[in-house]
Amino acid sequence: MVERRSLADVLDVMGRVRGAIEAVIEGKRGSIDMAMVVLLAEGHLLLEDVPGVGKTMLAKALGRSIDCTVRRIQFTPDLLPSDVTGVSVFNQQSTAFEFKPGGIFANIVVGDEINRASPKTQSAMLESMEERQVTVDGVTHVLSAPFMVIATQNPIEMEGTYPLPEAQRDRFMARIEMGYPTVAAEIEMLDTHGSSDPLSVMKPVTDAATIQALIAAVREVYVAPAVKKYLIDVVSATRQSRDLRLGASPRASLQLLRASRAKAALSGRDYVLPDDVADLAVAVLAHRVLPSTEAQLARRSVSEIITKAVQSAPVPDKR
Amino acid sequence: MRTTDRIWLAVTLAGAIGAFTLLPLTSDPGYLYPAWLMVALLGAVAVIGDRLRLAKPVVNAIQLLLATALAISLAIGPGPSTVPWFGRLVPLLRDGYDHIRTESAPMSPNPGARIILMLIVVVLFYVAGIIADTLEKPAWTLAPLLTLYLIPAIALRTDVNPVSFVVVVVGYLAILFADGLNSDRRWTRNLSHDSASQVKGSRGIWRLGAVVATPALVGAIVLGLLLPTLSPTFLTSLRPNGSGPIEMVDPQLDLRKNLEQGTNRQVLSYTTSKPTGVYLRLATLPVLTAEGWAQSQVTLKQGALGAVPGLATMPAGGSRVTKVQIDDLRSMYLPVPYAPRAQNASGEWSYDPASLMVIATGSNRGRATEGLTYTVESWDVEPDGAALSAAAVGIPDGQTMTRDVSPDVPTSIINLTKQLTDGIPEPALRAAAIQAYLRSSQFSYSVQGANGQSSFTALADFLFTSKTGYCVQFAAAMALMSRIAGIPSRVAIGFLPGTKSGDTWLVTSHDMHAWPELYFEGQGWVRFEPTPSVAVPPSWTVVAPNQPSTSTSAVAEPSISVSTKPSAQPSEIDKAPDTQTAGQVTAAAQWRTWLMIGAVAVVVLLLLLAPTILRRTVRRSRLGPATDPYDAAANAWLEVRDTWIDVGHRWPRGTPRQIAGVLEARIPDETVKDSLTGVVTAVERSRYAEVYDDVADLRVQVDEVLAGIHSSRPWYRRIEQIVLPPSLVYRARLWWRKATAPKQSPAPSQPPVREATEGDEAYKRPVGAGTR
Repeated sequence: MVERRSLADVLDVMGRVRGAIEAVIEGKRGSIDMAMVVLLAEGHLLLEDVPGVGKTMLAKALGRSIDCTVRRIQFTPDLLPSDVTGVSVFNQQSTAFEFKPGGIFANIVVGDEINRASPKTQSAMLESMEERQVTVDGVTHVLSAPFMVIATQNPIEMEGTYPLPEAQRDRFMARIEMGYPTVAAEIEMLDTHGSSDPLSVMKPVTDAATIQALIAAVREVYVAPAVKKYLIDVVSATRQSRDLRLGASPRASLQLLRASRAKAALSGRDYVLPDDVADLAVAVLAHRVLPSTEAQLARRSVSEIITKAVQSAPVPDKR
Repeated sequence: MRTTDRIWLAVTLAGAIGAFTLLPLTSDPGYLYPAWLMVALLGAVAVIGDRLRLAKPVVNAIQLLLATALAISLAIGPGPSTVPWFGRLVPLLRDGYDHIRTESAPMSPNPGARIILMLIVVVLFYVAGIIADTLEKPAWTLAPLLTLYLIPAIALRTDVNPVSFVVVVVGYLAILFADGLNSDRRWTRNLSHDSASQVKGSRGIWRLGAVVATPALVGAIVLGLLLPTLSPTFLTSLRPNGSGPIEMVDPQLDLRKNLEQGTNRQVLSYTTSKPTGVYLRLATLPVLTAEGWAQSQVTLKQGALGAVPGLATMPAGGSRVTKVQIDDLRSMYLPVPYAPRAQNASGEWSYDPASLMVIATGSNRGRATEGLTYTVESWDVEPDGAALSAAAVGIPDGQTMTRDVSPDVPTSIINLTKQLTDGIPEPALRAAAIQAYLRSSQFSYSVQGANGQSSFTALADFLFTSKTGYCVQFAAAMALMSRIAGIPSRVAIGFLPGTKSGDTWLVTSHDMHAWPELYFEGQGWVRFEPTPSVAVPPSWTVVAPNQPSTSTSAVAEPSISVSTKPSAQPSEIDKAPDTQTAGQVTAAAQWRTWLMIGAVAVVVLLLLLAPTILRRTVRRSRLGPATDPYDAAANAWLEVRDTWIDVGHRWPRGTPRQIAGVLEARIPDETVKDSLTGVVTAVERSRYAEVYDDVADLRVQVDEVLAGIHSSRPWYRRIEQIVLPPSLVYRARLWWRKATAPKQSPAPSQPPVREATEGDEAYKRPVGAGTR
């Protein structure tokens, strides 16, 4: 039985989580908040950036700050689907097949360099992400809640990568780029991280059950019909934009809504603002859409196009 | 087209068509062509100067020099002259000024006046150009344009032709429109062609023009019809009133009434510098028709009285000064001795140069003489009998009508005149013969029984049948017969000298009188006296050389019997009430005028204040106690928006939070920021939260935010919001946009959604590759 948690608890607990992570990663509050939004919205997070900016560090820090099972799967081209999902092994003593769970069986799974794995392995991973269960040899194993995959990905131009197909990218609730730290944050990092690994001294500040309760609380956040309409306006604007070959899917609408709820809760509100939707639009939608050839030629970034789509949606001023 | 081109084109148009507003002032449209020429030239100078990248003040200086040079050369005209140019220019302008001051509208042609009118147009055009282009305040060009409109409005002081108004408005709108186009082009200048063409600015300007100009025009006209017509007398002017002729009351009506009515009341009194009394003349009737004697059309002049017709120097009679006090006389004609040289009656008086009658031109002309006290200096035209006898018949200037004899004159009268004057060559003696005939005993004076008419049939009846009449018949008959005898004549109406009491001469209503005036070369208009038993004939009109020259004063009251019969003639003159009632009536009229001025002032003030009152009402209703917290929050936000717009900021687009971010950047005060956050949270809760009921702090926070917004602008930038709060314009624009937005059908016009089947074309197409 999950105990009920209020929105005040969300602020409190997630504030602690944020504090813990910030002790490890300086100057990345936006990324940290986004990770927490995705956690509370029961989504999965795709971190995309060049190597060495702290993608894995963020993923690990989030995992460590919560007292729950954390597993890390390093994706390589020879990684097999069964390495991810698990495999049935014949036990000679019991003369029966025994299921050995794979790397996915954890509350927080860090999928490092996901685009280095073969498409087959990628899809095995992504299917279990969506369904939150694994079926091996006809037996279905439900993954424990909370369940969140934080995948990191190098930009697709990097060598030896298999870009994720759009259908699979669609399963990630949000994609964020870490970006380089500011000068001050980087100096700070040199001071604190120069001698020791801060991850090793990190203590969990909450547990899985609490997070599960918070997730339940976030589901209660109210979304006014006008805001829903606004959200749909934003999403359909991406479908009508001349700059996009592929607009956002209805799944995108759903995930944007969930993410907005989580963001509202993290801001201490029990209702969603259009601002929440607008703030999350780029992170939630950008990796799901495909720019048109003209937009690519005009060097318009997807973020720009989505920002424009958001601006084109009229802000609801009535209830 | 450059911005300067557009502005000067508009100003030139406004100046060129604005020149028409002065047209009602003059009968000579000759000023228009030089004005147009100069306006076009100055406009061209501005456009060329802009092309040459000259500084705008430099261009204006060049325009000024050019305009001065052109005006001088146009004024003094070409051709060699020994007089230096300023020696010709100054008298020309002075003459033009005098002409404008003394002539009534429409003025007769005068070269000086033409130049002055042209200068008015050009100067106002130049000022408008400087305001619109150099100072970049096109809206203020209203001032010079309005001046152009007000000149005839004040000068004419009657209804100005509505075309003048339309002309000024069209010019003003042209300038505003040009400015609108300019600002529209200016801000899109750096946009790429695509984006710039998407800005539908000029359409917006047309729309705004339609929204502003049409109601303004309609409102002005409708309001003009609704408002009580103001007597224009509270605007004073140097110029006589009226573009058309003043309607002159026939003085014969007064005469008849005064003589026929029973009570003999005192109408005026006077003292004079000579021992003898004097005839006080009101008016003259120079036109002879079959219906009788009548007024002619006169061209009134204002200012000092002009020359006495036919007299170059003071006559032998010398001059006299008469101080007149009007007791009970209402007339548009000022009683003055002939020939008046100067008078100082208060009010607006003009004079007819041909007859020297002094006529009121102000409002309420019919009672202009009421209560006046004034002094008249006059020449006594008392010719020497011998000189008069020798005088030839003259033609008074511009008064050929005084010789006209209608062909309808009964032959009996012509024959009688011929009988009387046959064999007398001297004109004056012929006149004396006629007077002697009329004064002979066969004619008797009586007010009763006479019909008071001077028509030909009435005169024939008087001369041949009844032989009874009073001064009208005697004067009319003598004047008619004098004309038949070839002497220019007219009938004068006025008062007998009255009776002397101490130093003062008292004139009563029964002293009203008519007499003929005859014109002789070198003698001017000379009074004759054919009416017997009322006045003795002047010495110069009596032939008998041995008769002593006696006083011309009246010897007796006219022997009339009191008639209780009501006058047969319909009288247009009001029954004169007694002095007290008159005073009350005057006071009431003044009250009414002031009341009307006050009412109009209140209406104008209300109209001016209407936007700000409306704005305040809106504010009060928004911030007033609201039962519904949702309404309270929404209204509070609208009020924040409108106040923000009112102080001259732009209202940003976006969510309340984003807008608050913009506002905060402009408001320095920290506490205001907190309040703003509170207001924004309230608005957000009211719009997006499940429940919203906490409005306790909202009012205080809103007040703080509004105060903060007000303090974000200096006070002088906030003045404009009093006259026309920009938020009203903003709301009108929102409303207009909503009203003109294409109607959206309630159901989307897309085809009903259905599952795609494999046979569908769409099914085969790759996702997203469809219609894009």
